[in-house]
Amino acid sequence: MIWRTTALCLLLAAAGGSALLVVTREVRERERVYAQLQAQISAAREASHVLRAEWAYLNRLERVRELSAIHLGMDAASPDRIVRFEDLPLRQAERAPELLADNRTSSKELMIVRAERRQVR
Amino acid sequence: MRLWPFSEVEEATRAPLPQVVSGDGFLRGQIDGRMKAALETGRNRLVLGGSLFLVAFLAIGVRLVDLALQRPADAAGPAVAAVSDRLSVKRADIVDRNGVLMASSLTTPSLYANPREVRKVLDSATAARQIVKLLPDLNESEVRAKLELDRAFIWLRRGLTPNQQITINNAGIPGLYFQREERRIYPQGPLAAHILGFTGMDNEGLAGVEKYQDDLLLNTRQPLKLSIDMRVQHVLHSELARSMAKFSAVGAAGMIVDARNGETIAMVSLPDYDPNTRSAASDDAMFNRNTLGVYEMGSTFKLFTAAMALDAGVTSLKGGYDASQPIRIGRFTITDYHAKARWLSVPEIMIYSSNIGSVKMALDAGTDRQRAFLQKIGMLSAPSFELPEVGSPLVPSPWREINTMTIAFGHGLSVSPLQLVSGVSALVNGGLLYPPTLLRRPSDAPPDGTRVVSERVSDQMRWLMRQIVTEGTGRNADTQAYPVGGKTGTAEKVGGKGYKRKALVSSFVGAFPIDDPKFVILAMLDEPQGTKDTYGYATGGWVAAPVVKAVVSQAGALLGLPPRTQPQQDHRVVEASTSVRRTVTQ
Repeated sequence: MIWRTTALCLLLAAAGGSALLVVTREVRERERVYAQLQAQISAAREASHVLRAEWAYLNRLERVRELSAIHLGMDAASPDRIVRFEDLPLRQAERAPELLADNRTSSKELMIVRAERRQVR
Repeated sequence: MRLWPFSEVEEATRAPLPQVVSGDGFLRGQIDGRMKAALETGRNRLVLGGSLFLVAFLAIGVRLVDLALQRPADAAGPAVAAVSDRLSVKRADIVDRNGVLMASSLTTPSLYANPREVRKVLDSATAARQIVKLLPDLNESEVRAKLELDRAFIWLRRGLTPNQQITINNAGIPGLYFQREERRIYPQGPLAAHILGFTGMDNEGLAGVEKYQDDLLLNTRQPLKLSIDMRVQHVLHSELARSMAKFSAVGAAGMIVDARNGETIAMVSLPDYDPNTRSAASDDAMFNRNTLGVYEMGSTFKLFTAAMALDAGVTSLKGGYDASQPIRIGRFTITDYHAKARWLSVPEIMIYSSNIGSVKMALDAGTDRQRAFLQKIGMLSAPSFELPEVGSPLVPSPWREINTMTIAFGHGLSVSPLQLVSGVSALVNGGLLYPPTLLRRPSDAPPDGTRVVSERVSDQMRWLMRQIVTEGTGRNADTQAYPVGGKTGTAEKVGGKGYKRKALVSSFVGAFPIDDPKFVILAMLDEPQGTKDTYGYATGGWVAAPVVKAVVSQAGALLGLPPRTQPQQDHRVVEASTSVRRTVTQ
């Protein structure tokens, strides 16, 4: 009886010990990977920070204005080119004829009808 | 439990077993008793020994588990996590109201040398020559002098580019080392130089927001959000620069503030400098004309005179003054630039920018009332603002009647453009003065304003300012899309003995859209020269008003204002206008 108990205990101790060893190794390995990832994240953050600064530098309004003048032939927009959405006139071809006949329909309602039709199509 | 005495056990084991005599029950019982006692003692000792071993093994076991679980001292696990969620740079970024990066810190390598180590291998002249070949902007003799010092550390060059670092590293000059350092960069260049300021070599704020918010920038990780809108800043900057060049002015300044809460949307002072290379900047370029400069603002001050007189009930929009004769006081004569030589109504005094009328209005209100009003509206003390460069106004002391007269049309009291703009904001926004700020105010918590004029007077001021633009000196400021109201100002600069006739400070201060003012704008040119286009004039209406027009038409949409297709008028303005027209024509 006593031998059996002893053997069992030894077996349990050995099993427990090995399990512990394996788990410990795994934890250490994961910690190493974790630290590596953290270092990578930190480096990526650092890099994105530099890129953000570079982006801001390349998007200097002065430079964008110059480039758009050279390559797009664009200049500062005058206010008459800016219109509120609700003030936009509708194109003749897109107007719904039966609604157009009804003078009470507002341009906004027409637009909603048009959008609905497009969805159905 | 029996463990004692030992002698008894020994005795029991040593003693010869007595002969068992059958039938002798007494003797047998006696022997049995002694044996039992001895056995029990032995067993008990075994148990005790066993327990001691058990405890010892348990202790060893626990220690083994402990050792197995313990991490090696060099593997810093969670400590890494704490570091990686922040950048290695110490100073927080500065962004505009839309999150555009205005100032940031980058880690850059800096080059230092250990001269003793350098000299062990190379003589200082050779080393200096090699170093200067790699970094041509260094001075060879200076580098050589540094390398001859008996020291273990000297800076050679701070803030290298990655390419420079590689070439120096590849050159393999002994005794040279790199250290990672933080360097402040301003991606927008000179665009907001006077707002941002700059930092020193050791990352300490030396001017502008960088200095004023130094502690905050060093102690928080969150970017500091300013109220500036870089797009509007750019529009104002380019228009002022264009105008400055066109009229050969020595300087220019401009501001746009939110009339509803005092937030500064744009602030430009010219000439300016690039904070990235500020060592090349002159003192004049470093000077912030908007906050540090104080000027006699000229006719723009008439707005305050009119508001004071209207608020005090001294006069009304229907009232007026005789402006037919110049005013003589002592050796001075006060005349009108656009002289009409007749009785002028209060609106006409503003429209024609009559000095005589303004003086009479101010005299009607009295010196005490004028001083109290200007105090209330923030003209007599330095404003609180988030910049270290804030100038104090030059207030006359004692404040005599002659001062009251000259201050009525903006001479004899010098204030900063910042003060003027925040005062005008209070006149047009319904009468509340908000402290000016460079920081984005939380939208859910509107600031507390101080009432300086009644809502009615504010209404009247809006109407007067609109009249000046439609009928008077400010015509060049108007845009159809965003109706502007404002006042021109032209002041002669003080120099030598008295005022210089050809050295002007020409300005325009206005609000838009004037029927419901959201923003107040100021454009100011320092010593502009008239051109053929302006018929030689260099007054506010000719040089500063067009800047306002150009800026408002470009920035209006950026500021979220829908352009007007039809000129709109506020019903209150219409009402006021009809009633006044009646009086004017009467």
